[in-house]
Amino acid sequence: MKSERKEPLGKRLEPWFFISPSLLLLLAVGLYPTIFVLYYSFQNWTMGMGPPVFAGLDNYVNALTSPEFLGSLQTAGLFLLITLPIELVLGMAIALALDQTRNRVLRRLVQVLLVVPIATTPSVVGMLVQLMFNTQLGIVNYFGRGFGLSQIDWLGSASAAFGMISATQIWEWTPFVALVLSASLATVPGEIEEVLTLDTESFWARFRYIKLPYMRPGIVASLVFQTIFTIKTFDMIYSIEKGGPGNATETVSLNIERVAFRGFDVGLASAESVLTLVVTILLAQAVVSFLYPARKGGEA
Amino acid sequence: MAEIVIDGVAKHFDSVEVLKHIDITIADGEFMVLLGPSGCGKTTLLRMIAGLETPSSGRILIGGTDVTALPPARRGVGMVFQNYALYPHMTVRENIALGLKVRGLSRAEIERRIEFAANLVQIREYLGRRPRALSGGQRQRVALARVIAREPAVSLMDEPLSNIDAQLRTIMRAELLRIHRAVGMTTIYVTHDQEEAMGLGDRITVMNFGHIEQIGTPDEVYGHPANAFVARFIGSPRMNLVRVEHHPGAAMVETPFLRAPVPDGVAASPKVLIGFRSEDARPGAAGEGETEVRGQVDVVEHLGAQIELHFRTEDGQEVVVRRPRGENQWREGERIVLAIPPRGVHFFDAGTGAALTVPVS
Amino acid sequence: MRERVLTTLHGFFLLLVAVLILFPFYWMIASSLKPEALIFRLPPAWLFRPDLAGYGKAVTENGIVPALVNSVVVTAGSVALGLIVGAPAAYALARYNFRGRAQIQFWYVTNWMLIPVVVLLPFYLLAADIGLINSPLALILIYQTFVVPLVVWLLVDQFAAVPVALEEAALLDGLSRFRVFTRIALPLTLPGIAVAAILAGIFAWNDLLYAFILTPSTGARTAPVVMMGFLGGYIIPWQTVMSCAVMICAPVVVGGIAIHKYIARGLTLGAVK
Repeated sequence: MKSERKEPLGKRLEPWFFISPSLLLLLAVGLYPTIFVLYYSFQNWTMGMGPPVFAGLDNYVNALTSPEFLGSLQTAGLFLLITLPIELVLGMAIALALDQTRNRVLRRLVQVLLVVPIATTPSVVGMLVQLMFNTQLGIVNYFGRGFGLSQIDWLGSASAAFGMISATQIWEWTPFVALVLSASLATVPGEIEEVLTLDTESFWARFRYIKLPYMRPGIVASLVFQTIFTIKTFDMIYSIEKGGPGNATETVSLNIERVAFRGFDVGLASAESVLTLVVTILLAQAVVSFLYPARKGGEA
Repeated sequence: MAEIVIDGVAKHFDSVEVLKHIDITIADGEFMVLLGPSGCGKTTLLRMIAGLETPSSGRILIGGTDVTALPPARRGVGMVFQNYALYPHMTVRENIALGLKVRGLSRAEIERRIEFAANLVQIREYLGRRPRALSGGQRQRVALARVIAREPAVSLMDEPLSNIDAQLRTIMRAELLRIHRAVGMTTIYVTHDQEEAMGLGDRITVMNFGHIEQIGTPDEVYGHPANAFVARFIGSPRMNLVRVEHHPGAAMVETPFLRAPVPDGVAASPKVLIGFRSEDARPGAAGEGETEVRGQVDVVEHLGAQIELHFRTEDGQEVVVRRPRGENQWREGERIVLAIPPRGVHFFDAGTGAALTVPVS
Repeated sequence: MRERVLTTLHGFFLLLVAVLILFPFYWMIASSLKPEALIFRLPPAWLFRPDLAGYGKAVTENGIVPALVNSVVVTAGSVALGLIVGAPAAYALARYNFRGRAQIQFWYVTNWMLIPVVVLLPFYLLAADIGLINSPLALILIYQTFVVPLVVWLLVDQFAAVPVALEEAALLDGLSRFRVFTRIALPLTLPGIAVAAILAGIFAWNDLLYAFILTPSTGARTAPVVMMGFLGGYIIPWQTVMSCAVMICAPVVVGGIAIHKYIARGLTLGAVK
């Protein structure tokens, strides 16, 4: 029964006329290099040292047995596991406070200010962190002393440095979560909340039954995107200590950069890149499937 | 038990006065309609009874308790919102249950009440669905069930029928009455639709610009409007109001287009509005004691069973009457004379709009 | 009463958030105006005579001006190219329903999620092959991986909001689809295009990683790379570094504030309204 008239070819090609420039460009700068990485991951090649030689799975074996690479994956995972929940909780608290407050001036001010850490150049943030976290002379330890805390060697101690970059990441990106959740909260119709105020005064009930369900899409979006942003983080960490002290803050992005551009091992760096891509994709899928459980049948 | 007293309640937002000193007493179990054009303050008044807005002055008592300072949840009121305000992420059952759950009712009691409410408004088969899978009328029923299951002393309704189509509205109106009879909650119902108000209310409070124009039974506000605003707002087609001048003290109002005997007790006012409803007028010359209006037919509109005649008096005032189909072949440009018996004639002060007489009934 | 307490708590919390956001900026600006001797003085010198020497040194001795010019060229170039290819794509996604539309939208998202370091190495090798190292063009091209997705996703909604009837009227008047796009749709979406340009510009301006690798030689460096150069020395001239920092982040902070309403939407590629 398919007697539909097909649209003329010219008409069907119209959208491609508009779209293809951007597609070709992205294929050239995004996809093509990615395929190249795949190719190099099977080659043994150190930059500037003769032509590449086919190496089979050697690079992958080396990557997966390299304590440095595995350590950097672990560092990145820990970085994500520490910062993400804190960003979510703090961001939600800020969004709820913005939603509840009656002080319009303060609300406007904070709404505008939230953008500032996101927009600020990450390498500038890194430099500033170095200055503020200086052990003897930094303002952070000065305030810490005021609260009776001992001197912390932020830049010298592995765990303190890790805490420092985590705190910085949280400072930079909590506002993003807050803005996203704030936008979700703005979608709660006033009447829906009023219905429940006729039944209960409890803030918890309103949070649990109304605000949280409405925030759900925002929570999913901020978790997914923040996971990606955290794995992409490079500039801030690099500009503080290039992954140091030692490799205490060397996440996988920094590790690959070091192998490629300070060690010139193209093959190994490529294999590590491919593995990172795979892990990222799996991670993103896990996050999505965990947060969007398969819909039960029967629902319209 | 749940008599509602609104005692001198006023509300202003910044410098705008939305409600001016409102006094209403609503009896236990009464169905009270707040009627008025949009912006008259009726919804604000309803929301103050619910506790969603705070009065700038005055008190609200429910069942003898001053609730003015109580939070909404402790007033024992249920509310049906204009847009239903169903929780979109919950099933119908969960929608009804939530208010009961947060009040700490037992599971069995919640089930019993859901059962009762769902049967009463006939939504049992939708209990497992989400609101977006329901039609407008079904959502309306769910919103009602949610209030009924709460068993509040007072139920508040904010234009609950304004978002459903005309045919369904008539059915839901009858349903609302049936449910009200069955449950007996004191009900306050806000609407701008005078027909709905007449059909539903035990009494109607007619509001305009933040004050009360009249409180009365449907029969009272229709038959004895307290002022020109109520006269014009209630009834369809609207009451005709013809502006005339007369000599205070004279027994007859005499103009080239209108003759009316002045009933006893009409205060001396040189400018009056003489009002009559379409159904009280008949074509033909006035008899003894009757009022006569003359004019020239402007537009003849066929409505089906009736014909609507628009005509103008000599000084250009428009009068509209409906006549049965087939009574006469009305033509545009034709001269027309109408007679109105004394019980159908209303006198209002042209300046203040206040009724000058109580017509003989 | 309880409500009063809660409202006050919200106020304090939000005030704390504001202070936590602002303090580092105060510290950065203050440090850029403090002579080296005052920078590390504790307790901090809250009141001091502002000293502009840091800015002077940044300009005269450390070549921040040419670096800022490089940053402007790269940022403007990336945004321009991104808009030229991205705006028509957004228009097509908003106006046409065609096979493969969903896949293409997904492809833009994929690029936005790309981990920079993964494409950096092969792109570097390719750029080296064709002599693009130290050319602003290398950066302009690689920045498209994030500029194009941002532009496309922000503009799809903008174009979708243009009334179809308006465009149909123009089509009936005999304008071609392309003319309808340039004469009707583009002018009506200028504010949205400005937002997309600023947002994409912020990310292009801020980049350190790509610029660090792809523009290594002195004359070609962008501003963040030049600022990072201070780390190499034995003593870090903090006043000068902070002066550079202020100059680098001032435009993006101003741009970010200008478009603050659209940040959440932009960064989640329209997933959040």
